[in-house]
Amino acid sequence: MMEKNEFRNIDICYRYDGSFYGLLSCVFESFEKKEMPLQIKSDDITMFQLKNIETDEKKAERIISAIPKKIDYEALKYLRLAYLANIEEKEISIIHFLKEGFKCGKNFIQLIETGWCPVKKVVTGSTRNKHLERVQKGVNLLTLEAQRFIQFVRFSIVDDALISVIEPKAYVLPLIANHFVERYPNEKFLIYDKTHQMGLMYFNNEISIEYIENYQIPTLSEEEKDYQKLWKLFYDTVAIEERRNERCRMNFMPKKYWKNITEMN
Amino acid sequence: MDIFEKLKILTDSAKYDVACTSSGVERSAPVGDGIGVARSHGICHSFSADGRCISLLKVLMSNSCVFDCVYCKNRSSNDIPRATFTPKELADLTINFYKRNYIEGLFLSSGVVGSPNNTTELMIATIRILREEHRFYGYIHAKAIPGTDNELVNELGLLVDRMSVNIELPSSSSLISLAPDKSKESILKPMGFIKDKLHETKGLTVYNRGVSFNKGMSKFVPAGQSTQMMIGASPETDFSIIKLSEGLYDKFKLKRVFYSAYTPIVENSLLPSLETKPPLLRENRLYQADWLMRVYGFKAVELLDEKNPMLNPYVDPKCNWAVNNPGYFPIDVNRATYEMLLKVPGVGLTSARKIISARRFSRLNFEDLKKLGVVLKRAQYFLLCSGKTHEGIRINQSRIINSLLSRSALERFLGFQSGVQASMFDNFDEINVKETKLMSLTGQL
Repeated sequence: MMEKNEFRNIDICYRYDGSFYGLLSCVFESFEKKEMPLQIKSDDITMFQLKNIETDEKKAERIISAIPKKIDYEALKYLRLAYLANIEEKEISIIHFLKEGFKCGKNFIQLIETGWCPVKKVVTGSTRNKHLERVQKGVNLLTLEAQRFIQFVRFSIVDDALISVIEPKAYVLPLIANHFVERYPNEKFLIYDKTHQMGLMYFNNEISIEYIENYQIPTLSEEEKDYQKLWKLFYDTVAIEERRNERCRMNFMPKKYWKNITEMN
Repeated sequence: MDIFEKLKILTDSAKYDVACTSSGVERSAPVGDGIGVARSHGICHSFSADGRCISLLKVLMSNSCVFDCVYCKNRSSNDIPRATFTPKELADLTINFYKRNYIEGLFLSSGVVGSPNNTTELMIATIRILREEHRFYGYIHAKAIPGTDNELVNELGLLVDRMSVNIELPSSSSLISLAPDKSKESILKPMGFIKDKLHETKGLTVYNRGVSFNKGMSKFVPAGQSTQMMIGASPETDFSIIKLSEGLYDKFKLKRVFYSAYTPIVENSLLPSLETKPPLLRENRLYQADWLMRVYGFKAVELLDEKNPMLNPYVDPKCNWAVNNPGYFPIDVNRATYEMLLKVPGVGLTSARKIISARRFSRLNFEDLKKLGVVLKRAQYFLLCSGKTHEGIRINQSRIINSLLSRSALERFLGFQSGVQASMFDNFDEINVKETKLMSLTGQL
């Protein structure tokens, strides 16, 4: 016997436009029909029957306003991060995430992060499923990587503008934008995410994130090269040879980021 | 001399200073004026080959010094190349590094050029250019040079975020023998002055300084003051060092005391020989003890005493305390106060807080503790849940020691017992000390 609240599995694929509101429209559809699609995609490449989901702002807003009421604000924040994160079967996992969240209510995030919350002491089997684990892992990686890029972004100054190229795994630009705007409120800058071909631009106190194809950093001036040399000189000189500790350095500054860190080249 | 050469000389002379934190202030430049942001948790921008955090441009204003401190590379009798930044050079360098996201700000120290007042004036001139011309709102840490007039210390303090006066050596007798131009009084005087000034401007917010750096209503060193001392250059015991630190925290309201394992750079009969490796493990243990005093509410006399004046190299100070105070344990998880829970090995700040909030809803058992993040491997010997010990646990000395020691420490310990290693500290420093925790303490918090 199927439980009253269970979703029916159906062999179809939802297709949406890839936007946040589009994703929430898929969530709405799934919740309304009490059905769990096999796939949710924003392209046509699937073996299953396609069901087109129109992006409906009203439906999306209903989901957004329901989350703080039925779960909490923490969960809404988490959902936005999950949308940006690299998660296997992201859309499906997010539907599961919300489904469990509505069931659980308050402190849901604490529960999935630590497997513990004071009121709901016991973690039930269903809250420990693979979808929740994927969401949690993806969100953690995203926020960790965003923190890393606040540290390791390196700008070159080209004609008065600060320009940087980064290659993050996760889509970190929306998460780091605020920090750099606060740091350089009266400069203009571009942080180009080569992996996702997106550029974070700040110009005349206005901020935007746009698709840019194959951006190449312009030729550097002699002055710029001199400052990079000065920085490398400082970096090499400040280390104390008697305390050399490669492992410690690598822990804090993983090798995969070295490529775009001025002093490591 | 070009800027490259100057930067090399003045970085090389500054690198032994430990503190490179940019924490303690939250502030950002307003739109329409200036550049920069300071984050209360601090940000590390790079890590040097020794694994230390690089958060600030750490340089000396000048390495020409009239003092002749034996342990110091920059002592007047040492024959090395000398350099001095002009204020403009250094300010421009800082702002250019800052724009490229290399650093959070400037850490400015200096040898004594001519006189302490003269030196401080040079530093003030540099920081003025940064704050007033470049409208720099980032982090600045400056050293107060002992012997500087109070008015100048005051002026400097209104421009920077943190100030520090280096204790250098942990006792006045070592100061007399190794740093003849400095005295306990000359170091404590500016420290006391900074403490009083801090108290006077206590009510002001950090933002006041944003509007008018040093124009009346600024807050004095909003990120507080710190100090540092060298470990291993002089014969003081750990006990006298942590007692000193405790006194500094209590009397001078310091934010941090930094410990720096002495790296021999000078051949002198008063100092350890040039072959001596920096005592990294000892430094690590001191940071742990320091942390216990600042955050966990331990007193120096609880951790060490006259009879046992050195920290145990095998186990961390908290475990050491627990093993030596069996009368305090076991304590009941469902009844103990927060302060008592903090003293249990394997229970940290977060898990102690969680225990307090969780036990309001139900009695906790050992399974629950695990979920709350308690390290049962260590904690089980010291805790009771509803009057019972952990199932199947047998309490005896060797088991407890086994559980408290890390594997590498255990190997060292067994080797030590069988007489392979004869001395307490000397040989351990060849073993790679896990500095991970230490780094996160000294760098980003």
